[in-house]
Amino acid sequence: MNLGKYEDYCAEDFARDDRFIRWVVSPSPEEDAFWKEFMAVYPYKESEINSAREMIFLAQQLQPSKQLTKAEKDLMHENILAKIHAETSYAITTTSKTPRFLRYAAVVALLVSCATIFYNYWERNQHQIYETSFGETLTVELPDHSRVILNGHSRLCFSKNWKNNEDRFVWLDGEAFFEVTRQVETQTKFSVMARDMVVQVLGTKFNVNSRKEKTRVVLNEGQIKLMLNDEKANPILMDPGDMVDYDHNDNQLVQTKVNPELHSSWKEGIQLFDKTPLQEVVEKMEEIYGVTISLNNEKLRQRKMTMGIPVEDLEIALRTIESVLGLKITKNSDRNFVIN
Amino acid sequence: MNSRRNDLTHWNEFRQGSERAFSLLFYRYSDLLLNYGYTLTHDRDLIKDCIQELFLDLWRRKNQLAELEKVNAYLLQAFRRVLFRKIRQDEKQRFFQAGSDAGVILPPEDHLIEAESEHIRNEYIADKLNHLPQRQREIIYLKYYQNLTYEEIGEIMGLQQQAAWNLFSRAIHKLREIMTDHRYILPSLLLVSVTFKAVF
Repeated sequence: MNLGKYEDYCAEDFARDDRFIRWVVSPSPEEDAFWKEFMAVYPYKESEINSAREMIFLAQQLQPSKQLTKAEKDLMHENILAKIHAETSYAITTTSKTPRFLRYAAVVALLVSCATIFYNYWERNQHQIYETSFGETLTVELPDHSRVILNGHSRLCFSKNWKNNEDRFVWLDGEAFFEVTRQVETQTKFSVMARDMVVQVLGTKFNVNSRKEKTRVVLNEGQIKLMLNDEKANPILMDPGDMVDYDHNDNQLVQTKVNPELHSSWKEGIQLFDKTPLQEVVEKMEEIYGVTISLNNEKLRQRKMTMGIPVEDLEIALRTIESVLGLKITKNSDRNFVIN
Repeated sequence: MNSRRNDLTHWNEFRQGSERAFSLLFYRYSDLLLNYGYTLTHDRDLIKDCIQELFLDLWRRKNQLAELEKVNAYLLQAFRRVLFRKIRQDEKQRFFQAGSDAGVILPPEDHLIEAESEHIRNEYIADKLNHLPQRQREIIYLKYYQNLTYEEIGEIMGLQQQAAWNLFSRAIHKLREIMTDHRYILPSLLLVSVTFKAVF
């Protein structure tokens, strides 16, 4: 009989004591005797005990006792039994003799293969991919209403899980002109992941051409930051009219002032050249049409060209070059030409 | 305590496949689960559904069920799990059928009241008690009605034993406040009511 334990108890202490609760909720002669003795020893505790009892009785009104009617219970009971019996008869007809571990193994195998298939499917569906073939341009609107115009033989890729309020990323292989919307509220950045660098902006218009070893970025409006994949290099800040050329082979970086419109003119359908060496014009042709054009004469190579060629019509492009040069272009095959 | 031993016998018979024992357990515990259910929701149909589902589930798993010390603690815990699963499902559905009421608020308890004073007092207390947080009402039920230990309550409600004790202490404290309140407020409420009746 551990009476002393309760010596300092107040009503709230009693009301949460297991033994006290048991006495009030389901009284028994032993408990009655214990608490009577306690009150005899500590008579001044009587008011606390009465308060605690009252609390418990009060709490019992918390839950005006609910009951299911006999009919309700019978109906529920019937429902349960009906289902049980239906299942039991079904189970008898389908019980299989397959050992339990084999059944588990089958389930595991099934789950694993489902997971694999699902993962592949998921992975392939994580990215939205746009591709152009040679001599084709394509305008893509991103979820943030930024516009990307893809030049021929280029590929743009971004996560389907795009969120405008988080930093935006696209992957580019080839050439594209970007008109990036500024996220006024969140100021989230927009990054183009090119081959050798990351072009990071808030909102602006610029052209990126990233093929094989060379990457060229031309800025039309706003400001951008270039971060080379080479971690030692400092980021480069570009202003409108700046052109940055990067050559992967010799790690050379050249920054010049240009007329940016020339470099993004292709998006209106015509690639403009302004005193551009023929060699460069030919390279551009090869790039967007996927053809090879041989140019054997060194003088010709350096000849400065000022003209515009269509980006979606190889025939007209070739004829334009012929007329500006005053020379014939020989066709060796569908994809192979010679200027001489 | 005799009934408790009976329950355990029935529980064991049921585990061995006795449908009679199973039915006895159902009739014995359905009201108890209904009352517990009311501390969690006020949707009577939902509670009834859950009781049925619980017993169906028990029958299906009867071979895997363990021997118990207290049938009520186990059933309360299992019932709570079924109910919460159902509520979550319903919430998902409700998400798609906008407009239906969430039904979290207690409808006023209309009971047959003999005396006016009793009526006021009960309404006052019911109102106060119904404004206890749900978890406090739940733990009061588990403690004062089902007489469970803090350990058992913790298992049912997913709490550490100490956390269960703390929660119950807070509930007790609230109860104490309500009790002190009603000792002073009720007589004045009664007086107002009687005066009101007399004048009009």
